[in-house]
Amino acid sequence: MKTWLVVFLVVLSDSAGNVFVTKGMKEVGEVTSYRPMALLRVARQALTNVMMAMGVLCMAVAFFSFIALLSWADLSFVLPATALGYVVSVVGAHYVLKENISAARWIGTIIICLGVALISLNSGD
Amino acid sequence: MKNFVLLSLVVVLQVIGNVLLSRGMRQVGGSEAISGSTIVSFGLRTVSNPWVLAGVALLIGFFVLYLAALSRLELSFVLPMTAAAYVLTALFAWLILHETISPARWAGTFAVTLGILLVGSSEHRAAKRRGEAQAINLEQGTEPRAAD
Repeated sequence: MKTWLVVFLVVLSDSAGNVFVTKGMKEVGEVTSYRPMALLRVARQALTNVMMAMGVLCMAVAFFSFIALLSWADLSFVLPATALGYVVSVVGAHYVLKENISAARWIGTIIICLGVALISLNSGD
Repeated sequence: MKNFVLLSLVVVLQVIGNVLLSRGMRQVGGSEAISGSTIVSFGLRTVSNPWVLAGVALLIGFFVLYLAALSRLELSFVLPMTAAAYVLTALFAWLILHETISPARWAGTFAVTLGILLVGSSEHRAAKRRGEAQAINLEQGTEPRAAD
């Protein structure tokens, strides 16, 4: 029960992190030039963006709850379970970021999630 | 094309960064007893390991490019594409490290590849349609609708 709650926390904070960071980068604006001065300007804007800070905070929560989870749960359970993040992030992209998600994108994401789960299933040995 | 190069760089930096980091952390080793002094020495060994430093540098590069990709593309497109890291890791482990890869892992790698092709090809077709629609609009002399 406790394990599932923390898995839920990892998946949710990771997905929220992705959604917030995307929102932040859309506010900062498109990165079109990779010249040092242009990148520096983008970096300054990104570092002072509230959405960006929320996103990085969520990703930090995801990272530390993931490590904590590994201290008592098997890697071969934790990794496949956290692959759910792919689907949850796309759900977030749809409802929060209002992205238009085609059927192919939904199906592709679900197949990838299952594939990642399968890859990490026997990573415990 | 530019987006394809950007996403490829994101994936390659992530995979090589993780490989270097994992190699470095194996050299550093785990700390057996947890006490103040062992944690400090573990920390010092970690931040002075060249493999760890190189890995962290590449992973920082990965995150910056990931953010650049998210600034111009949709999350629901970028995230599935970055799963290519799993495919590249499997190929790397198989071809260069000569690790044996279980059938289940190959099946998973195949599924991930399939999913990426599905998302990527549908995006490719959508972009082509947008391009054609824009060309038709230009021919008719109407303002092209502001696309994403």
